[in-house]
Amino acid sequence: MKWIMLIYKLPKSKTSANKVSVWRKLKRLNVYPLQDSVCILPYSERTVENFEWLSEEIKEMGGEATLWETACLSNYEEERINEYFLNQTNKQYLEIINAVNDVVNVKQLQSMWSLMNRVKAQDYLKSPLWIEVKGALQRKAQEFSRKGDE
Amino acid sequence: MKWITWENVGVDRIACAWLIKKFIDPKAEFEFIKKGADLKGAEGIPFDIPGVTLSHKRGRCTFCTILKEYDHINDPVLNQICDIVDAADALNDVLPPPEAAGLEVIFRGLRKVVEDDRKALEVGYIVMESLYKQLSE
Repeated sequence: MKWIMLIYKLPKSKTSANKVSVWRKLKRLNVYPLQDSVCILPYSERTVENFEWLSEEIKEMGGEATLWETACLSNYEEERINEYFLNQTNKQYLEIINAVNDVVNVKQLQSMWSLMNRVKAQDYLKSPLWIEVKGALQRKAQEFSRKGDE
Repeated sequence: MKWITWENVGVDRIACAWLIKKFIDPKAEFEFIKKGADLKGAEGIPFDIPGVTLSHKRGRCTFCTILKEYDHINDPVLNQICDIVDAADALNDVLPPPEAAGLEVIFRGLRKVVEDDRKALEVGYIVMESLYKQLSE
């Protein structure tokens, strides 16, 4: 399996809006932090682009960043990292599934639907749980529309 | 004028090319270079290439940068398109406009079904025109 690795160093200045923006993007991308300033993502057109621009953002603020295409030589480690990625998304998917029952109106349901789509954008390993989340939300939607028909 | 960008155009570059041709340089010609290729000796204005003036700035997409740089263009619809491209391209999706995800997928696929980047820009131009027209109404 191919990975894209970002090695970066943020400028030494105090916490700034710039730094926060980078942290936020790393978090949004759901990267796996290998070390303090080294993180990886499964390789794809999109993850490469995302890292490329993030590198530029880091350099623009006076930091350093390099990007590497890389392979892991330990099956064991690779499996562990794969599991990390799946667990990260599954955790978020499960939160949605568990919350579906408490949904009382269409508005709430819609915001969960967009939450699901945001999680899915970072579901790099295509977790099978997605189908279930989608199903749960759709069933709830049918419930609402039946109620509306009555 | 000649405008230079990396090959395999996606949503930001297709949108930029449209913006350039429609509002900045109607005679614009686009040239595509290999990703990461040396820009030295290339004649023209580079865009959406890391490190050049017309590129991502402060974490926002190149479309936003060009729109700011050429500030004679004053069109509220373009600001709307800017938000769409930005959400599609630059991870600024806290509040993504609904059009963003769709446009991103279509443009990512577009380059894979047409024979080259020039054709992708041609078809992309029509899509961008449609988006602009519809948002203007």
